[in-house]
Amino acid sequence: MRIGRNSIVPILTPATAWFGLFFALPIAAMVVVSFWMVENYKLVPTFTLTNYAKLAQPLYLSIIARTFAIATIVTILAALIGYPVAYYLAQRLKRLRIFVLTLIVLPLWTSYLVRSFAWMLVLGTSGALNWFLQGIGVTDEPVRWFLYSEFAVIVALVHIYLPFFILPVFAVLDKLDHRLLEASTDLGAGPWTTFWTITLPLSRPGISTGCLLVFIPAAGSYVSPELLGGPSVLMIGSVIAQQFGLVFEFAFGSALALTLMMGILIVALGLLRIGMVQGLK
Amino acid sequence: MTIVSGKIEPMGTMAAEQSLIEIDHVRKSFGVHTAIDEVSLALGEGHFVTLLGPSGCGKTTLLRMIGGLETPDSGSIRIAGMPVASFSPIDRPTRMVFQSYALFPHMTVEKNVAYGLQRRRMPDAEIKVKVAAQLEMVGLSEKAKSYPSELSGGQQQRVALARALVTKPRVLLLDEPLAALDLKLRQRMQAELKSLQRSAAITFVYVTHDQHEALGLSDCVVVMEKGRVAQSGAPAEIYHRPANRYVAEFVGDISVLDGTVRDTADGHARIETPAGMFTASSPPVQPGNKVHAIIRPEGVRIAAAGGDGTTGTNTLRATVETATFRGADMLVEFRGPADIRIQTSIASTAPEAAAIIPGQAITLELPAAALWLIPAERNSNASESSP
Repeated sequence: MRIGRNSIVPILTPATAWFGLFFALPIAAMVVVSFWMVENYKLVPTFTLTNYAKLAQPLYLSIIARTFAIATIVTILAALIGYPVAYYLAQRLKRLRIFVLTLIVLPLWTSYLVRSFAWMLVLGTSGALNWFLQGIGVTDEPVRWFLYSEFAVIVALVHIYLPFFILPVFAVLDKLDHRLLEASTDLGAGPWTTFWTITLPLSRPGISTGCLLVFIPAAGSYVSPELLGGPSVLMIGSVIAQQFGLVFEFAFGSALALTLMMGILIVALGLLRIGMVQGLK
Repeated sequence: MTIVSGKIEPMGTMAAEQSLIEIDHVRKSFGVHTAIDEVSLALGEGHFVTLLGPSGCGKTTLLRMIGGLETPDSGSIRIAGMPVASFSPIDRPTRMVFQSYALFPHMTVEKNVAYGLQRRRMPDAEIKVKVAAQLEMVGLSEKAKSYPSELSGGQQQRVALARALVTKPRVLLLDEPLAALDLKLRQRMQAELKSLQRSAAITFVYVTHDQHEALGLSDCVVVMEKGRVAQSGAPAEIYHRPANRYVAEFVGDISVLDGTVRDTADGHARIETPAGMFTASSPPVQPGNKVHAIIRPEGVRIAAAGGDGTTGTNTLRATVETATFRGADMLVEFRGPADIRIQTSIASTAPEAAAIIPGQAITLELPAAALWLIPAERNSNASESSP
């Protein structure tokens, strides 16, 4: 029996109310505020475009560009590292798969902040990595660019968001009909051809979801770049936080936040497009 | 062999011909489960061979081994004299049609069919021509640009066939290809498959658990039981001259008289049963052997309405137990002396049909040509295979 269209409305009411109150309303408020002015730390409801004009300054343009570049690199690395893991888990592992899946999900149980701090201990000048490299004699003095650099931010973000890529790809590959692979082999394809022509195209929905789940939080990340990036690696999340928390530029902060949202939305739509495979229901 | 009542074709003479597929003492286990146990078979070129048996009898495993998708634990499978494992993926002379069709969902019909040709590095123009011709042949030219999910089950089945056939295999392996289709469509596809096999002159190895499909389509039926070959031969031989009770019951209904062989003479034997002496057709048997005399429903004749007629040879008196009207015919169950049960079908338009009333006594004739002896063994595990 199917639940009728009308009877589902009361069930959805709490979700709609929650969503409207805590998502749609604040966003609408931000849109309005982003066209206002701030005078003497107070919002003045006068229509202006200055907040958006300010975004075009080289300083902010470079921060926006860096944010999207870092998020893109993190997403690509997570995909390159995560795909083989998901493939191995889904196609090869039988008995240990629950165990390994648990290992992959386990870091998510610890705080995001703790994991960022942990990377400081690993990457610092007296950190584990430098200690190891000096120990085996690769360098004489500690490598300085490990920490407070784009490198540190990227390493930490890949580590933090990797499970979000692995899980959706695993879900898709796990459901992949192995008879399709046999049919491909039967028709004369080698393992690599089968991978490129069958497995990879059919895992596109998972890859697309995985990339979305990595890209969105990576582009909006705040804690990791603050802790690991240092003052030179400023990402848009930190700037937004400063506008609201330090300088009380609510109007400009709103404009920045909305710009970030629009940018993420465009990337997300592109990723969703990649995830749509014609012929799949 | 004995040709009975003119309806039975000569026995399959596989062994005399050049065999295309030679299966030699093949074994295959999955863990503790033995899927294939010492199977040897020779399958002739251009034949429609059916592997018939219930689920779990090993028929699909055997098919997959012929196709190189599984490797035997021991023994060998050769196609045209070459071990299956020695072929490169492109040279392998077999192609498989999977039960669920296994069409690539993200490719159009056209691209699915072109897949095998592309692997053979054929020029695009040539691929185009061949794909178009193959789709024309299966009647799907208009669906070339459709995706498999947009097609009906029967159409998907045709695409699967086209995809396999376009690469010109010598052997087509079909794993219950019609199982997912409804009855009407299945019957139409059966006819199409048969004519396709004839016109393309390809050897078909066809796996099914449906005995009607097996008997109707094949030149040779291989009945399998628990990983072994219970019997192989022409459909009529399997049906009328089963090697054992398992085969007899799997391919159709039988009535059974238990008895003992008294004497034998050129392909016939006289047996003593609780219902009297009967003459039956028989494989070589010795006097004193315990046997089952079996008869198919359509072999039983009604000698006289009323059970008091003179009892001639091979007759017995029985009373009608139940009569089930089935449209074209009536299925009638009789109870004879010593609680013997005899099943027969009578055309519903036949004059005798009127006399079939439960409780009515009737004289039945079990013609010697239709009565066949099989060894008496309740569990026919140690069934012999007839090569």
